[in-house]
Amino acid sequence: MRTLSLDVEAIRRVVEGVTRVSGVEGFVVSSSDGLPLFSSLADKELEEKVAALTAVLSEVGNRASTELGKGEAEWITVNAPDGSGIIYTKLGQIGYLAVLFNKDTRLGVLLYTLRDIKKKIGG
Amino acid sequence: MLGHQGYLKILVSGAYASGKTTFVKTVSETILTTEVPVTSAGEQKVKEYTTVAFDYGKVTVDGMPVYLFGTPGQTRLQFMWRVLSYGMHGYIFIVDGSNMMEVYRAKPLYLYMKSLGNYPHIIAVNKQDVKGAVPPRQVAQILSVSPEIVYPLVARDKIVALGVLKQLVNLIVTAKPNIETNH
Repeated sequence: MRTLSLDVEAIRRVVEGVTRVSGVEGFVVSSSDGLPLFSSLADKELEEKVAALTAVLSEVGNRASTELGKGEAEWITVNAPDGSGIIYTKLGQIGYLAVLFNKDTRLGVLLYTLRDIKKKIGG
Repeated sequence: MLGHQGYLKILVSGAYASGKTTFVKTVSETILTTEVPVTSAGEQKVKEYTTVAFDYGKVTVDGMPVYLFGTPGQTRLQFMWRVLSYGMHGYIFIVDGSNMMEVYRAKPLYLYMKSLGNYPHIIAVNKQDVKGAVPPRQVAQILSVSPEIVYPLVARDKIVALGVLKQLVNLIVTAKPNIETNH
């Protein structure tokens, strides 16, 4: 258990790097079956909802892609009418990451940062 | 809204680990599931894999194409029930009949299903092959429903499972199109 908790702590530090991207409002890391592992959100009820939705959307996105023979989804993006949105991506073996961003975010920078985070975590 | 349009959409609903995915897999000719490994220790004691979004299956019953949508069981994923229920013609509510506690646990979930609208439905009491399983008649009493809509089920048994599905299809086809939805 000690090794696992240390791993989560290390992963959290890597993931927190995403909050340095201008416009990022927060993030939630969820298990593949929709339980919150950690997040930047203060509202724990919201954290739980986002985690459950993250697992549902990510799994449906993966199926949408794999059923067409394209492999698992690299990103899934949800865009709100005001230009803000959420990006979902797989986070190695631990589950999924949801990043909430506002309309001023430069998506290229965000995607580059996420790719770097995924590389550090592996998978 | 009934109209059938030459097909039926049926929701397969019920509590966590009641046998929804097994049922859909057993009866369907084509299947798509969104199962992932269970991660929490408490839920792992019950089973290894769980549905996060939905199970989907298609089967032809008496010449009628039937589309099955199985719901996720955990309460944190329950928002999917309403999403999946849009446009359904009826539902099967699966109860884990292996012990009395599971039957009582199913009651609020059944009431939730009923709150979605007055749809034709049946209650299938699963795990009847388990020693000491709760009989359907007793489940009908606990859920305060007519025993006529409560059927025994062994979700792994294709003949039994298809029989239960056929009962619901008959119920829908013979029902008057007076469904009021609460969507």
